[in-house]
Amino acid sequence: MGVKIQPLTEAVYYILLSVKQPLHGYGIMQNVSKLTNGRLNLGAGTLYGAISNLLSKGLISEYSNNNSKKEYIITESGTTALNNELERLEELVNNGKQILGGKQ
Amino acid sequence: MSKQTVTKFKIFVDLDKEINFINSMNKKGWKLVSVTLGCLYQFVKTESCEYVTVLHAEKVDKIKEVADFAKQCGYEIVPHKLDGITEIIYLTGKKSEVTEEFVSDSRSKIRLNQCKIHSVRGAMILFLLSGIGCVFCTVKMLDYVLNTNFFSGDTVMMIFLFIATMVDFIMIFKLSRIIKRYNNKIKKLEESLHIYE
Repeated sequence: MGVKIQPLTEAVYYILLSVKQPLHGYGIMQNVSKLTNGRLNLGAGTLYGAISNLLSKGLISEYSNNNSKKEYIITESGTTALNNELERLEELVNNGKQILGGKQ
Repeated sequence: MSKQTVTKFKIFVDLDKEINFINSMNKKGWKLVSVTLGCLYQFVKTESCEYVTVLHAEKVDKIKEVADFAKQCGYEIVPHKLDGITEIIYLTGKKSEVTEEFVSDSRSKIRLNQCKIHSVRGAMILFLLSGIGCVFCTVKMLDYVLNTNFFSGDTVMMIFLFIATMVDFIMIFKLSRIIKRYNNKIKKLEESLHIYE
């Protein structure tokens, strides 16, 4: 039996990707929108909830706090979670392609 | 040159209707600058219809934290005179800088609708207490009228109490419909959550 990997939501996945470099809230929102070509526009409230959860779980940490603009950065556990998610997504895509007959 | 301002008096118990009203003013080029006692909305004229307002409900102890975060994301906090008492926060920002939805995921939307239900329930309890008080006074008044010499002032008072009772119960009925609508929204969001998130 394979190792159980906890799936990340799409929003959390893109937030973690965005904070590979230190970034503040508004920057994260813009980066997520840019990465998804405007398909995923995170609301500030959603981002606030996700950041609070990620901070409490230790997947991101506060990098700086200038003029009440906090910057966040991914932690080691965050990077591990991101890599696990990438593996999980690869498995999903590969299985989907095999069964639906798409190109590998 | 002084800024052109306008103050509107409106009473809303339905938060969706309230935000629709504020955004209809935004579209006409008026920016919300303050809300007093939950019923006086002050707007200032802006050069273009570039503002959008969102209303967010949050637990009282979290409101300041959310407001600070919203500021970082381009929103301005609209002061309202019930700050610290209600769970409602008014946020306004330029359309080009903020998203029209403050929360974009289903889980947060469910939480938001639950907070909205909570605020409507508060109003419902007030109307219920008022209704019970009116019924009690009407019964006492009726007893008094039947046991003493009847005069027209008592009739006027009884009619007034009866109308007040009816208004209270109509309001309770309306509020229960609003709660039902929010519950239906939550149900739909929960259904989509099982499939899409």
